[in-house]
Amino acid sequence: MALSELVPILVIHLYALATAAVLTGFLARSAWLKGTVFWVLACAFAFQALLLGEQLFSAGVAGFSPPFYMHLLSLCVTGTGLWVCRRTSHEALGLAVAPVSMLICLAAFFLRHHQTPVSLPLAGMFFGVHIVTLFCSLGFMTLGFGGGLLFLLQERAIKAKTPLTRRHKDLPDLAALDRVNALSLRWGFPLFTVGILFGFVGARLLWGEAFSEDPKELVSLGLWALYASLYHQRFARGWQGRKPALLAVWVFLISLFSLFVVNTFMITHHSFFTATL
Amino acid sequence: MEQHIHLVGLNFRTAGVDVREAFALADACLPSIMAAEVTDAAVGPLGGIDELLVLSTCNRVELLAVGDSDTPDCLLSLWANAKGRPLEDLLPYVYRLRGAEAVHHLFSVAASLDSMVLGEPQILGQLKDAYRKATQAKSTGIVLNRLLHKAFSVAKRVRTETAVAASAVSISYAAVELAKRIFGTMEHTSAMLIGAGEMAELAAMHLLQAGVSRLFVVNRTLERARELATQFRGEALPFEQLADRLPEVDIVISSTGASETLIRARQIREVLRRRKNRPMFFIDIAVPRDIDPDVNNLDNVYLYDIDDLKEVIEENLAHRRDEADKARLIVTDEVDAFTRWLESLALQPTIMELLDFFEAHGKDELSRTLRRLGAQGPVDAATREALEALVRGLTRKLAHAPLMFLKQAQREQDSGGPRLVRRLFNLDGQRPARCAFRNKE
Repeated sequence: MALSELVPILVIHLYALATAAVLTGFLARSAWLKGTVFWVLACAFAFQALLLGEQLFSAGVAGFSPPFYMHLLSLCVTGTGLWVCRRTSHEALGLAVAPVSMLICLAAFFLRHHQTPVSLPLAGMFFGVHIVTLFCSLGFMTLGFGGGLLFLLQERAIKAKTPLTRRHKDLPDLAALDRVNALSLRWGFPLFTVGILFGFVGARLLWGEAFSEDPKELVSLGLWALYASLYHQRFARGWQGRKPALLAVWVFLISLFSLFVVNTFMITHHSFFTATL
Repeated sequence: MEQHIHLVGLNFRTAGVDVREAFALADACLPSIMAAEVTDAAVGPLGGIDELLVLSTCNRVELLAVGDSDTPDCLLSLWANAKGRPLEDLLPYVYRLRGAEAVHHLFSVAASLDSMVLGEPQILGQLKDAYRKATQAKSTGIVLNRLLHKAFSVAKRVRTETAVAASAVSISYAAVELAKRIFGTMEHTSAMLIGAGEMAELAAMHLLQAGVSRLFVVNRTLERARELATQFRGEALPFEQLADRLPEVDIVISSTGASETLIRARQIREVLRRRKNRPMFFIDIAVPRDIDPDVNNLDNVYLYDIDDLKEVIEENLAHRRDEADKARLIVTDEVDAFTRWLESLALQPTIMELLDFFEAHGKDELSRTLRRLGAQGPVDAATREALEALVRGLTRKLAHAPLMFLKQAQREQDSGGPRLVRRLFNLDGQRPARCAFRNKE
């Protein structure tokens, strides 16, 4: 088996290990297991980066296939996750990052035979920035989702006066989770905005019109409006706690819908999977 | 009619906070109840309460009395009347204890074995305060005085000989632990105490230990607020500034004795707007509650009342439960000792009744003898005097042995002694029938 076939399998196993470690670590209240999650994710990140670097070096832009982009997406999600985990020391964020990255890598694995490259004009600089910024913002959305979900779970327990178990106490407190949401939004929204803008500029350059009422564009604009509303409410109006956490969960779910449902089942400029399936 | 120790009451196990706040006996109610036991007219046909003490805290209301068998019903009627509520509203929640059971309960309460937070120290101070008020109202006597002093010494013994109160588990400590789940580090948080009683003091101590940076104390009596604020390096505020200063605080602990709601949900909506939705945490440990329960429905606001906190601290009590078994053994020993003392208190009446018994029988026989002698001719004074001296001497000699037996029993606090003598001489029964042997003669 060639290295290019082995490494993706290894990466999936590492993400699966990280997922199992973080879940078991919290259920069994094992500090050691929770501590290993960061390093397992870091290993997965490193192998994934090597894989993509090797493909880029050996095939150039001809290697920009759907599995390549999916690994790139997974890499961005893991990279942002590692950065935020380092800043906040909250291993609980691995509960979101590890399984999401694992699922993306699994999807890439199942599509590994669909190596039809993306057309050359789409491999230019504008689309490069468009893709990387959007993928990184998706990484921050994943963290916002994870932090938001944990916030809602903890907050519900405290509001309902449910006796807080030791597992509740092992999770970050509400203020810490709210800070994670704020951090994710502070980076995620600007990156998403840059990504959208570069997408429209690239579309103008490539197809002669920036906006063509493409379903993907419509969904993306709707998502941007929701994200912008959350950004404004949070930083200009002072929203904290439950509402931004709930909105962060919705932003992530809609972005997943946009990425996997719209791109797969609708005819759009982003129908890479439909074209290859 | 025979007197016993009676205890009637309700607590956090038998009644929720809404019932406890409805039947709490604030100081204003006490005089009417205390007066009842000294004014027979007020007690009326149900009378018979000799001594009375009222204990009313956020977790229990208990009336302790010495009286006859009608005393519990009388106490419940007085209680319901003092609160202006029908007796039927109270009855489903109360327990009634008598004698050794009542003593056991009181000792357990004093030793904080019956508290919502096992081992908490506040109850002893509250019991001492209740005793002070009862003595000021002159509603205690020999039994309750001894009982309460014994309760205090039992509490002290439990605290020194067991670890039931060793770990820092209390309502205010639990509140601080919850605050940490909301705010994380407490270093940049500020807190407000509404009310300046013992619970507020304890809360202030735990908050400062947790790292709260600013502390406000609000109380109707500004002087008392200043005392507490000075003690904990905080700022005292007059009660009128409560609403204005709320936006500055993250944590509010309320423990006043107010009968009306102090903080309402609509006020907090405005406060949150001024705080830009920064979260707030309210702890309401007052009964009746100071804070409108609807406050908890607001986003970013968390309200815990005293019943909610008991769930929170449950996990921390496991160790104390083990120690509580040792404490209960101490309480059982002390209850036995007190019961023996109580029974020995019944000795004096037994001695008097025994002497009356011999005297009555002596006089009876003397009268019969004088009548028989009189039938044969007038009895001269010398004969009468000699016969009376004979009866007195005989009565004294016959009573001597049982009296010595009783006094020995008193010294040894042997409750069996008086019971035996009472049975032997049938002091509780009908006047003994004429002896069958004498009838045959």
